[in-house]
Amino acid sequence: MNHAEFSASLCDPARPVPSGLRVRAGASLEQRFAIHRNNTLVRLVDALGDTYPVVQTLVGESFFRALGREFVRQHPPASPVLTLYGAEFTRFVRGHEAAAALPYLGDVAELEWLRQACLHAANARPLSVETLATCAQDPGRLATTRWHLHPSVGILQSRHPVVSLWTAHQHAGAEAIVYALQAIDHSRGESALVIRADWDVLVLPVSAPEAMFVAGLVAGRTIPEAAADAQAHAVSLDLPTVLAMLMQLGAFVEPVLPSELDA
Amino acid sequence: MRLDSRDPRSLAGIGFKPGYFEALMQEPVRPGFLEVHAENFMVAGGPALEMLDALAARWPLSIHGVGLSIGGVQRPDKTHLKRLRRLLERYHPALFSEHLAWSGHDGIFFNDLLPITYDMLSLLRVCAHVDEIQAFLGRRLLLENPSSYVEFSHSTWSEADFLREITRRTGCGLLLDINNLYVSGTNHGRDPQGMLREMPLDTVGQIHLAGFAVERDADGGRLLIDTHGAAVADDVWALYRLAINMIGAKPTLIERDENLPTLPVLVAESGLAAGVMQAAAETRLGREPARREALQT
Repeated sequence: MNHAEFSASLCDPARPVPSGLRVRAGASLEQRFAIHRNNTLVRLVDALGDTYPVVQTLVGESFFRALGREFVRQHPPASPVLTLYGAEFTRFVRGHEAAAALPYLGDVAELEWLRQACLHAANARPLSVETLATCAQDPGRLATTRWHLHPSVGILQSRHPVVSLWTAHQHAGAEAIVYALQAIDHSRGESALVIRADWDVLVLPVSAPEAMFVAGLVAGRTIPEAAADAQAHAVSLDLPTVLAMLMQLGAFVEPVLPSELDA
Repeated sequence: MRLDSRDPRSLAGIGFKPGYFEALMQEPVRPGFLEVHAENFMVAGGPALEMLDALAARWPLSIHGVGLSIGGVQRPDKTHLKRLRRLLERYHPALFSEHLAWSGHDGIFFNDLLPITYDMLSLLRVCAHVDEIQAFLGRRLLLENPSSYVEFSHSTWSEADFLREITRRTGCGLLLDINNLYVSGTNHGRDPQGMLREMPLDTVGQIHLAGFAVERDADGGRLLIDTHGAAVADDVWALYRLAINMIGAKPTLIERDENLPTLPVLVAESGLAAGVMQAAAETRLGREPARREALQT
């Protein structure tokens, strides 16, 4: 068997069935080979649907399957670890004609990706209350420390009501979802903080300056640097509140050793 | 945790799904062991691994890989082998298995178990890959016979002979998937009982049972699709009884990936396998009065 020829036929239904195959008399080789073509596509689109359930609901299942097949052909997985398959889907959705009709679709996809990455991110030990209290009493140390945020932390800043859209789809039943969707004000943007709490992934609405501030910390800025950046864009960053929230969530952690990250 | 080979109930397991976790931790009905797909737990952290930690404290585990692509042209991927080794070191599973198939080529993973030619070139390649995997992981692999829909004109070996030669050359064991055997036999017009008898049964380390879907071939004949989406078929149970009567009790797993039933239903189905092993053991003891006496004293 030629693996390259088999692979090419598998990925492209326009190609003929690979040479050298046989089936029992009376069976159709085309039909039998189609089982493999179908398996590959269906299972990878299923994997995508597991990561992007709200996108799937927003565009409808049949359209999502078509979109998924197109994506799988353009971006087949390189790794057998499919828990993190579909990282490029957000960009794909944004560039797709479907996004023209639903301008918020790309941002919803990005939020769902952040949730998936958050779920499987490395573990880290939150800094103890004592450590944080000691730092808080030492202005010099507080100003210069580059804090480590939990590897599960993700930030999304959107021109669309992305948190409300996502949250609406967490209701049980189509009627409740429609009701929640109708209440959404599409003229305002929203930002989200994503973080793991025990075994759950939290999607928390935050203000734009708060999102900017946390994004700064994730990028390695100190608290004063990140706060200054956020305040340059918006006046209303309530620093004590956002710091208290991050501490409560256990977002400040001890440094994660590289060996633990290397999964 | 190890399997207790004397107790048929402990040898009958089920495939784990996250949806079963809560019920498993509370349920009075308990499967003998749990099997997981290795790739689902190759993550940096989070609940998946913690869930498996909790399960591993209570059950013997079987770790079943679907991504090594042993039948592929390329050597097993080192990065993937390292991920697998980390998992095996963390859980020390009672059973570890992979497939006689390929699932990727030239940097693309197809997420399907694809068939290989049964000829000398392919045999040498598979054996080299199995040798490398076993050496790298430092443990014996159980290799699963595939379900298949197409065959290769250039195959010069039967599947059973091909598998026997691999086990002989590499020392790996056989994960005998009786549903796959039945599916392949039916699809290729062969007698599944005859195929079973030809398998290297002395190397069986584990058995898989599952359900299939029935479609129609161009001529109206039965075309079986290995979906893991239904209860184990009667014909497959019959083959299983035959196998157990020949080789004795072996760790047996009910695989279910679609149309998941409730946990008690799935555990009850695994109980049927325990019943078959129990009955076979009693028949054996009945045939060997001296051994029965020895056991009673």
